[in-house]
Amino acid sequence: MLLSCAILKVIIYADYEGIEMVRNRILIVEDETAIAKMIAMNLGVANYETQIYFDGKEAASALEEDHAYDLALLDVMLPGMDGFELLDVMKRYDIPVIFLTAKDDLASKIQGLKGGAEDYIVKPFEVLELLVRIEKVLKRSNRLNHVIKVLNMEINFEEHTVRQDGVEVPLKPMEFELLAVLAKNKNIAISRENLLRMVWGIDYVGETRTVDVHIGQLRKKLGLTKHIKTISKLGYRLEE
Amino acid sequence: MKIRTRITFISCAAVIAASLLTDAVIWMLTKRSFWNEAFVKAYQNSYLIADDFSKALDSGGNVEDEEVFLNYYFKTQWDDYNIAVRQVYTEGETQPKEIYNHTVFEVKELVELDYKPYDLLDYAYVRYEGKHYLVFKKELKDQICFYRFEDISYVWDKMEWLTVCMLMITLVVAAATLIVMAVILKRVLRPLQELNDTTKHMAAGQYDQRFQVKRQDEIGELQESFNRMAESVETRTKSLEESEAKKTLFMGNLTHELKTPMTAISGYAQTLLSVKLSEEQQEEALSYIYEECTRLERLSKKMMKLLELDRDSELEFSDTPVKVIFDAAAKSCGRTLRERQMKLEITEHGERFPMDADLMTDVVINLLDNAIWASGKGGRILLKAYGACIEVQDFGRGIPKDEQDKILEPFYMIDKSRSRRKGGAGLGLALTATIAKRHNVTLAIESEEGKGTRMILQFV
Repeated sequence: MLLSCAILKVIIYADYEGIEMVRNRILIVEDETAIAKMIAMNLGVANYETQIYFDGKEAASALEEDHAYDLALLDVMLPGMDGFELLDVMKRYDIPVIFLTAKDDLASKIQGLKGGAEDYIVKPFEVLELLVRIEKVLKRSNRLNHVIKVLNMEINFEEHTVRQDGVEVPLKPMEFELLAVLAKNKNIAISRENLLRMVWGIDYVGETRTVDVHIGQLRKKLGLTKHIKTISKLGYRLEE
Repeated sequence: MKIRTRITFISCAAVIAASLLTDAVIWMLTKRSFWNEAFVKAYQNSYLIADDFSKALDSGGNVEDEEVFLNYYFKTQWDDYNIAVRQVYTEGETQPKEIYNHTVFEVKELVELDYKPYDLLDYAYVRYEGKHYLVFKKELKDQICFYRFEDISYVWDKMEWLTVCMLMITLVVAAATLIVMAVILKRVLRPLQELNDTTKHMAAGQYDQRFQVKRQDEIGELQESFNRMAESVETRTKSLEESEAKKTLFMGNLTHELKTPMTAISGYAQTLLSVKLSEEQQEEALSYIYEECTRLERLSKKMMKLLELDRDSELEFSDTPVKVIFDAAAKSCGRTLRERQMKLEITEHGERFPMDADLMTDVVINLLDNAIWASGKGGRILLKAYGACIEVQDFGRGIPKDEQDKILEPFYMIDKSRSRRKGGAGLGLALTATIAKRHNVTLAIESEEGKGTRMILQFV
């Protein structure tokens, strides 16, 4: 019995390893090294694979060989080839584009969005905002992975289920959404206000206790007391 | 009221007044002359009749006979304007006795008239039932008095006719004046109307409005002056707009230059705050924050300098040997030169120029910096002083023709990524140009793509 249990576990684990999904690949074209590295650092933490190019032309020619990207983050003012030109190249490979630029005039925004970009983010931006917008674009273009693996959990967004070590754990809808947000942005601290906004879709201040209650439930049901960390002043972070 | 209407009416009134005055003078003079003529004519006639009568009377007999004779005499004259009267003295009073009178006048009234002597006769003026008469009187022998009426109403008729004529002429002249003035004024004032229209257009912002000057008179002069004014207003407005646009561009560029490091700094700070990073990553984030801060500091320093130089603070120039600034600049660029294995060749012959040594050192450093980044590794840069010139020459990429006049503008960068990566913001040459300008030094750029660039500072 014990043995069969162990075998089952092994099988499940093997299966689990088998569905280890391909991470979403994101292309970053940004001539400012500091900013490009910063974005890459955050995306890496949020479980994305990134590729950086500092020059528009370089990026375009590299795409000829490898264009298996789920999303491109483009600066507008680039050496070699500007972002608007690069947008057309991206369209050819069917890669959704988010512009990331210091140009905040309406004309540029319109040009970018009309040209077919999915979103337009003006510098300076909040890292969390960037992550959420990336997720939304991926979701819209149906490229978002339906399954996220965090710790010993497997979160399936299509089925709305959480399996811990292969065993499904029943969660209330809001608890599931909260876990989803934390898992998608694992290792990133999210404030209670932002959690309220992202999970409940509401904006009211002072109701942050709701968040605390649900976090408590998650910790209890999934045994995540250690992993969902309370970061003073900032909020919560799911650590791997 | 419009100026046209006013002038028309005023001139019309003036014409009427002048005309009426002339009329009055002419009327009076004419009346006097008519009167005199009529009077003389009446007198002569009366005198002749009186004389005839007197002669006829002399040939008569006694008093009774006289009266009969007179009656007869006057009747044969067929003239009803004559009256003969005898003055009869009764009880010390003179009573006029009518001898012959076929007129409408009473003898009593006749006697009481106020007679004035004229030549051989006496005369008086009488108005009766709208008619005007002159009465002449002659006293004959035997207290017989002869009166003669002369109708001079024709003088008044003539005067009436004259008055009507003159008034008619006045009216016609006034009407003509009205029309002529209206037409002339319309023509004369048309440029004024155009001026008004043009000014309105200008007030609405269309500064390119001009007159076609065709006239040689005062109005033509005014149009020319107006055109000159419009020209200067247009030029001034344009230059203001240009400087405004330049300022906006400058601010836009500055914001952009600020945003990039700010994005990096705030991004890394957020990452450090909220993301669980490895120690290595934390260090990387911190080093980027530090680097970007240094970049901001450099930018703000250059901005401050540029602003300070733009303000009209007094610069103190002293005669400085170029060797001093050359050495300082070479020292400052020494590290970069060594890193890129480049050679700096300095030539000077003890030249001295009046300048602010610190600022001019900055200029030379900036020029060297540009030369270094334009050249490849292992290149050669010449720093020379000759005559009244300082020159920096490199054999690098050169500056494209169409960018040569732009490179002195703030934030202008030919190769954006390269300049940014070494931390420039495109202010170096702008600063150089400003310092040169404050020194009254011209900065000439001679460059050919692929062959190199010569930057020449020409002292006056």
